[in-house]
Amino acid sequence: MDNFDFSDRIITIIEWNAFNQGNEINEIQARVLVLSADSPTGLLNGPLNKLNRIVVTSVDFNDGRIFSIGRQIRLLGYTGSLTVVGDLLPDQFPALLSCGFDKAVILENFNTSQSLEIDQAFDLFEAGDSGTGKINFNQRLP
Amino acid sequence: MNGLYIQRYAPMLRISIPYGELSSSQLRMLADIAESYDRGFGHITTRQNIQFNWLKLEQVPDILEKLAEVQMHAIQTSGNCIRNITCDHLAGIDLNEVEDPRPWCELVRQWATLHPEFLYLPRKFKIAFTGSSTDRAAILAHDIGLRLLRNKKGETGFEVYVGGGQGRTPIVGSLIEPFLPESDLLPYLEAILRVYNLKGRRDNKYKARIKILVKSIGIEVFKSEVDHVFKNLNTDLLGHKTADLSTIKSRFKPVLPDSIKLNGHSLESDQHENYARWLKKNTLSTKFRDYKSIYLSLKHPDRAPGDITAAEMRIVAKLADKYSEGLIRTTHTQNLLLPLVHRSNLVQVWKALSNTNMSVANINTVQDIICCPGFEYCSLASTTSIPIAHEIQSRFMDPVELQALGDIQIKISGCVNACGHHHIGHIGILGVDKKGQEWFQITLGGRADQSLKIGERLGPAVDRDSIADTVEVIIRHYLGKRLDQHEHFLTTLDRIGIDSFRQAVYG
Repeated sequence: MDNFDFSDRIITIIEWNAFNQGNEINEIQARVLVLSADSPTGLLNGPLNKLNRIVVTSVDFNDGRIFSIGRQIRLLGYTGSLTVVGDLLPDQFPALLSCGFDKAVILENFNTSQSLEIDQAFDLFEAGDSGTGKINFNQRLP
Repeated sequence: MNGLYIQRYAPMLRISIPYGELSSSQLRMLADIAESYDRGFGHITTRQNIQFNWLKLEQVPDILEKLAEVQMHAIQTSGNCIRNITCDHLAGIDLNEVEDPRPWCELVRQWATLHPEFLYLPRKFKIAFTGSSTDRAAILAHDIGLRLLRNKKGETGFEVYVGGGQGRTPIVGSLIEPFLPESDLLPYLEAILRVYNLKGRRDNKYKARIKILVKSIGIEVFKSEVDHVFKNLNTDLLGHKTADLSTIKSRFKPVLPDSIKLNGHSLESDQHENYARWLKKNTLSTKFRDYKSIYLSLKHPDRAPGDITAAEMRIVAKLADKYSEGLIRTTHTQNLLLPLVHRSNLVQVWKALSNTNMSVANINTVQDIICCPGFEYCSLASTTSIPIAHEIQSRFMDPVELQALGDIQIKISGCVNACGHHHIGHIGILGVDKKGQEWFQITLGGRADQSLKIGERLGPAVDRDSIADTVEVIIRHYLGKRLDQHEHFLTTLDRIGIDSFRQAVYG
């Protein structure tokens, strides 16, 4: 995952609501919507693909709503950049990727490669493994 | 999510046994672990898993490596995620079954294991399956309960219940979908889980289970939210595709063990009575005419309910290899089962078990108590529970009387978290702490089957010294009041009312 570039214009919830109601914000070319796990789900009803980026903030790594929010945004057809920012664990990154996020803002000392290695070691263990007819719990890390 | 808990005296590791199905090689490995790393025994849980209670934390990586050698693990046996999928322990062999639910359990197990979206739920999440009209998996006491059924067109689907649970707020699951086509199972589960993940409370762990959400917004509102999510799902599940079900089903075709003719396995004259009793209480017919299932009792005053020693595990593994195609099951009631044994081999199995207490003919009797670890292990416990079970079991040691009492389920929890399922015991016992003293509340009339019901409180709590006496009074009152030996405890209770028992206990 790359670090998030904040150079895009972040629009406010008020602007987004106005935008959803048909009020164009013509002067803004690059649009970023910032959501938290507590944001009303109705905010996702607008024309998401008008946005360049959606950022979801995580205040507590235990709060798994961000995974469902990411998944929901993708299921609604959003194809732009989806970023997660905040309190995260390195071993959550593969799951975040699976749920549709493509960027995360992380602390420098987080070892993300390890989490991806672990995920790959459990390749057959991941949901979707039934085609193999068996599971494999004893794969070792390279 | 790693199955490790720091308990009262030592770390506890809970190991997953998906839908209670074990192979003999897995059981042997568990025996090795019990001997090498624990105190020589393991503990079968009410959710069909096994726990080791006396491990050293630094040895857990070695244990996990050994488990991996036999395709076992402890992932998702703790934490706020989808836990082990449990199932009717008679799945695939029950006479009244619509269809074997185990392939569906396996499908959901694979879908739920490390599911990217549902690893950080508001609270733990338990799913149980049955394929029978008789519920032995307590599906109505689960976050999601699934019963396989067939509609008038002959199509297979699921009756779906949601929001059941015990703990400090016992709630019977609500019917959310009377007939869910089987192909919709995973998308529908995804929809339920997503609504729960987004809407379940996270501010108070005691109000975070799905049962509280369903209760607070009502089953109709909850259902409409689930249906809305379900309608808008596309086929691109994060989980896997139902087309693979045929592959899974092919792995669950029953393999019937051969009859093994051996000489020298006739019964001595003094053995006939014990054998007949065992046959009646600890074996049952299956849908395969010449095959019976054998319960191996883990209930006796010499052990904590559900405990099994390493030596016993090896005996069971050997019997399974010889007579049951190497298969063993764990049951929700904390016993073991050899699923399919040829009728002609029953005597051999009984004889092999007769030097152990696993052949005691006490399945579904007052000795067959479900019990939490209580003070003996658990850091959350308010009271003891295992010694209470032993005291009650010791009151009914006469095998003739035990049989005459019929089926009575006693369930004991050492605190309000209800791990011993006291809410749904015919006789439920809940330990409570009052100013440093142990007291016990009694409930009557709970049941864990397809008519699942929360028991009614009998009256004021009784003290530690009186609890076994009180239970005995209740049982003897039932004996005195039942119309005949065929009238079940719950039928007598319904007929004469709980006040009659109150009178007997409190005067």
